[in-house]
Amino acid sequence: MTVLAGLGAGKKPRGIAEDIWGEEDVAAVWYSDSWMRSQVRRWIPKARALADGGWREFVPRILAGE
Amino acid sequence: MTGGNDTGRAAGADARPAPGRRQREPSETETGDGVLAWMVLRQVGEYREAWDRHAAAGVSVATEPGPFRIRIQTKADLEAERFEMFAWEDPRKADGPASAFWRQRGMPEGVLELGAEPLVGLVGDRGSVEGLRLLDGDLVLKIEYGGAAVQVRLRNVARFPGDGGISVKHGFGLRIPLSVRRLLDFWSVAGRPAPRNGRGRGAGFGRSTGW
Repeated sequence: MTVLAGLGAGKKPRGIAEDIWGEEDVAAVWYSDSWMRSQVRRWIPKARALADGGWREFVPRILAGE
Repeated sequence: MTGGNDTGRAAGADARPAPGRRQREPSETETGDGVLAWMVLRQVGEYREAWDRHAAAGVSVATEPGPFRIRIQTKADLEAERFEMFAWEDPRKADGPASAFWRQRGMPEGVLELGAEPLVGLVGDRGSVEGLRLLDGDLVLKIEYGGAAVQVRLRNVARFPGDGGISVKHGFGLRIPLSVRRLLDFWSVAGRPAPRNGRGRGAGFGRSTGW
């Protein structure tokens, strides 16, 4: 949700990371191949997919079966 | 999905097992999570922009008398259909509902039941009940409890009585007595996984559901 909100607010990956981990931690870890940067880069397309209609999969519905 | 559902119900209700064979019990499974869907949708720019346009039009929300808030669906609410909702919700309202009124396919149907425990008393201060009177006259109840939300559709209910309780019709046309005594019953009826060890689904729910 934080990633979604950040994207909606036009934030860049680092800004989103700061919302998640705080400015201090991001300043210490945010470099080109850091795990933190990789993690945010993985989350962003997932968040975009949710915003682009992926949320519909969560809308309740009842499936009949046997 | 609804059509297939109905077909399946009819077939399941009428079919008789062949001699020597056990009849397989038909089942219904609820998929999705209205609370999660709303958590996501309220962050989606397209929805927020659509809401802003709706709100700018200054459409007021009317309610009808009842033991809980019962909104009356408006024609403007029909525009929320493209977001699979029966009615608009403010995405920025911090203390708003946990879930929206979803246009849920195969929504469980409820009936007013004499002698059933009043809904308001059942939920108490641990949850909430909200109604939405649809333009076609049906009443949708949304019961939020313990981080989950369940919707039940009632037909032919002109006014929901102050001490009204309901039972929920099983998908195969059977009533399940006392199904509203606990929200656990709603989960069972709707096919949700029942909370285990007295705890609700998902993280962050630390309250007992033993009510």
